[in-house]
Amino acid sequence: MDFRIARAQRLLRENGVEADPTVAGHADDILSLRASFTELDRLREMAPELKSLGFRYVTLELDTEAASES
Amino acid sequence: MHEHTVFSDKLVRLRSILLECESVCIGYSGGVDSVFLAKYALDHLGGDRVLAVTGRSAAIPEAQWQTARDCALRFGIPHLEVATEELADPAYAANPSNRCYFCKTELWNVLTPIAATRGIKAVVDGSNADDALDYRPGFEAAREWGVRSPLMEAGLTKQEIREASRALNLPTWDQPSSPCLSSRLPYGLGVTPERLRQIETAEACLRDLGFREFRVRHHGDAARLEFAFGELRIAIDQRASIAAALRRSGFRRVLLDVEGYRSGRLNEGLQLVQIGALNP
Repeated sequence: MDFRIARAQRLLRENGVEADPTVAGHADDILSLRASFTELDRLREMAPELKSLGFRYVTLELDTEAASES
Repeated sequence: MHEHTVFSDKLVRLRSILLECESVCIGYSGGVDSVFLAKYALDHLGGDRVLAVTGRSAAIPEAQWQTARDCALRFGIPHLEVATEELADPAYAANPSNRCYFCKTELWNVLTPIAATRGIKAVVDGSNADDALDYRPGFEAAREWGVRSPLMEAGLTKQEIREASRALNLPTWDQPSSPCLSSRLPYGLGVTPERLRQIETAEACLRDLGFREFRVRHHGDAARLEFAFGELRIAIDQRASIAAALRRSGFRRVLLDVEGYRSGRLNEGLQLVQIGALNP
């Protein structure tokens, strides 16, 4: 497993956010999270810390149908 | 009062720059800045001393060409459309961080002879005072080709150009900033007509859904969507429609950026020293 994902999982858990993180993008620089959309504000607050794990962008998976296929 | 005086002084300065140019060939994209510049030049130099030229390529969305055309027609701005071939340049298509340099080199390479054959004294662009604060490798090409930037020279900021545009009843006064479609591709991901078409289709769908300030960023099989703060929650409410539209545009994954839209986000990873070096 990508060590950045393990760290992101831990950080999210410590902050009480239930989310399933994966890496996305051609450059593997996007943290993609499957999470409740009610977590948007909290994830925005956490974005700098999540990016410091080695990501350029923090995103929510908008298309859950596609996410379940991948 | 003081602010108003400064603003007026800048417009006076703009007029004197244009008079100093005598006649101008304007790089005219149909965006806020170039439409204002073309109209202002028309008002102060007259129609026989102004030519607005739009470079057409797959990197410019059809909607923007239409705006350029409509404004020229409505205000009587002499207008010409020419094809530009920046996508055929491997240096541009590789999408390096100075991609804009190659695009502008092609544009000025096309516009300069047009100006020369018509006896037009100066080739100018719509860069404004705010642009000097961002990473703009296109400035280097402008410098090499002797292209002037009257709005920047007059010190006019984007907000001031919007205010002046509103006063002139230009429909572009509140139009969102509209950089070329290649700016939606992260540096290093090649610029291809197919990718540009995907972005154009996806952004057109989002506009049809009522969104105004956003970007569709192309990351290979994934689209990363940036919405202005005020539109972020609406995007969540409309996520099913958005996802369906984006998948129709050819993206397998649709990702919502939690930090939203900010102009120039793809430049955020670049070093400030590089910005200083390339914006002389």
